[in-house]
Amino acid sequence: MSKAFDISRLSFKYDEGIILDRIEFSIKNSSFVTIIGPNGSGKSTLLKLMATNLSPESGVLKLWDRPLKTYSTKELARNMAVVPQESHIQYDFTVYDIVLMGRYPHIKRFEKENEKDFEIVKRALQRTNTWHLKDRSINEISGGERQRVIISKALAQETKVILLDEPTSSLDIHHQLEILDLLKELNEETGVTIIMVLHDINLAARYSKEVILLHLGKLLAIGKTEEVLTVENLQKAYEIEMIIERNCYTGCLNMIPLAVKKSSTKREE
Amino acid sequence: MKFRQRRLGIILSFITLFFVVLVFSSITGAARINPMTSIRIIAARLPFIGGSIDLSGITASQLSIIGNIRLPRILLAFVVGFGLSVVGVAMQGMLKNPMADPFIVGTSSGAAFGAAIAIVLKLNKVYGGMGVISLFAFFGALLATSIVYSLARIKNKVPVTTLLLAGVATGQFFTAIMSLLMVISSKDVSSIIFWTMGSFSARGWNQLQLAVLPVLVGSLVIYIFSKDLNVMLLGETTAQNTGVSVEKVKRFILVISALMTAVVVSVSGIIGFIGLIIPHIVRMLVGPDHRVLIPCSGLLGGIFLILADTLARTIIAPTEIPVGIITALAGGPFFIYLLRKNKRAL
Repeated sequence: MSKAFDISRLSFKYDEGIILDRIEFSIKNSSFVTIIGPNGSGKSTLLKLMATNLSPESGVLKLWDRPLKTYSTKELARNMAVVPQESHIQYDFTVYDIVLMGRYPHIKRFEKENEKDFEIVKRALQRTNTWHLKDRSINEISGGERQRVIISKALAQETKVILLDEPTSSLDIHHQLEILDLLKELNEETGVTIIMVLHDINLAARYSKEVILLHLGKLLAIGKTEEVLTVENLQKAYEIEMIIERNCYTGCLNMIPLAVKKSSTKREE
Repeated sequence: MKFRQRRLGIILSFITLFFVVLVFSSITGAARINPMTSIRIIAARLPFIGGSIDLSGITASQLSIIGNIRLPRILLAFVVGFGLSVVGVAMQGMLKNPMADPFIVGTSSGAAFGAAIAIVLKLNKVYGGMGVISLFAFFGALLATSIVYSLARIKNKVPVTTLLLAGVATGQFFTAIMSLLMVISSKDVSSIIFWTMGSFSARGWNQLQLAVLPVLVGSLVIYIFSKDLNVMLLGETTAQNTGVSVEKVKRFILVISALMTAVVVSVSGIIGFIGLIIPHIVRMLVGPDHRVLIPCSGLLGGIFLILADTLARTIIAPTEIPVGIITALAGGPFFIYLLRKNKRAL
């Protein structure tokens, strides 16, 4: 049970264009991994394949050493929760109702939620600091609060793996940090494996233990954050001039973009 | 749980309203009958306690008017309204589309097409309590729905947009054939048009017997999927990641809904608007949770259709208006009023 995910020779195509090309990597249990890469690098597609929202062209994805295909939908939802980029819920469910839906995969068709489920939902809401919102409509609360509620729903699923697709993309910097701090705490305290797509390299540098860097559908680098986020790797992926330095306040790597790289310009050390 | 009590309260008050409307409707009409007489006649029809009801002093004509004419008709209206509303809820929830109604997958045009053929071929006979026109309507509805379903299916999935488009296209196609039949056989135009507007005129215990079981069993099955439908309102991808087998649920509900609608349409003709507006009205009252929404919509839909039918048979008596006209006339403005008042997206 040491490998949360094991992916071998994974490829995916849309019509003609190859989106992912023979990707291989594995993710250990209790990791905090960020998938980064420029637009069109295939990072969202990769996450969708891991979430089984898309089916691969070829290759095998294993969760806990078992191919994803062999899990039933309900069984998979007990092992892996997914937090989408943004949740547009047009219906007036209360926050509590939404989080209670996270218990769906644990309840049999003719069963009702019991005290244990209510207790788990309560803890999930308290964990993300949203217990006080439980009776509000999901549409009345702010974007940051809503994202925390959706994370509570993932927690109520009681999975060992949580996938997140740019969970902070529509939030301001305060709420971005709030969400990422929460994920970090969850990872450290409960050992839940966090696998997340992020756009912001500096946030990825600050929070993740490991980074997967994609470029044009290929795996460019994978490993410890400090090993992957090098000028060489990032210039290849993003084609910009940049400086990477250690931030004296946070102690984390910090990338400062300078200019779009011209094809003739030589790389400067 | 507070929620459980509230849910029970709403359902109980709808059931009470049903009995009030039942009695009110049974005494409304050309023959004046007082409420207590009517209650006694209805009670005598109930199982277990029916035998102990004293019917002395009630004339045979009163017994016949309530027991054989008005009561079955009222109950049939209730069952039809119940079925259409439950299917409407299921369709709107499953397709996540506020415009969806029981006829969105081509049921109504298929049924009308079937009925038109039977009318043009002069098959207005009755065998074993089931009219041939009803039978043709039933199979027409199933034919149209299965065409829509097979058109919309891509591999093992039924994408919502494809389903809606296939429904519209197939509906237009069958409507065109029906129009062609009307042009060719112009003397049948009025019977065909009358049929497509829906009516409970001259319907009795036979039709009720046919419709009641499919509607009740179908509604129960749809109710069992309440939780799945709730999660599906968060979007199909999210539902799948929460453990719902989205495509299986969709296929199941489509088949059940098509059967229920076909049965209902075959006994009453096409009664529009109920399956569209009742779910919306009830959603405004009780919220989007299908565990409450499904039973409440069924009850309110049934009650609404009883009232509409009572109006249809009395407003310009002795002439009867097709009940579909009443549902659209009354339902439309009321719905717009609610929409404006709430000023929120459905």
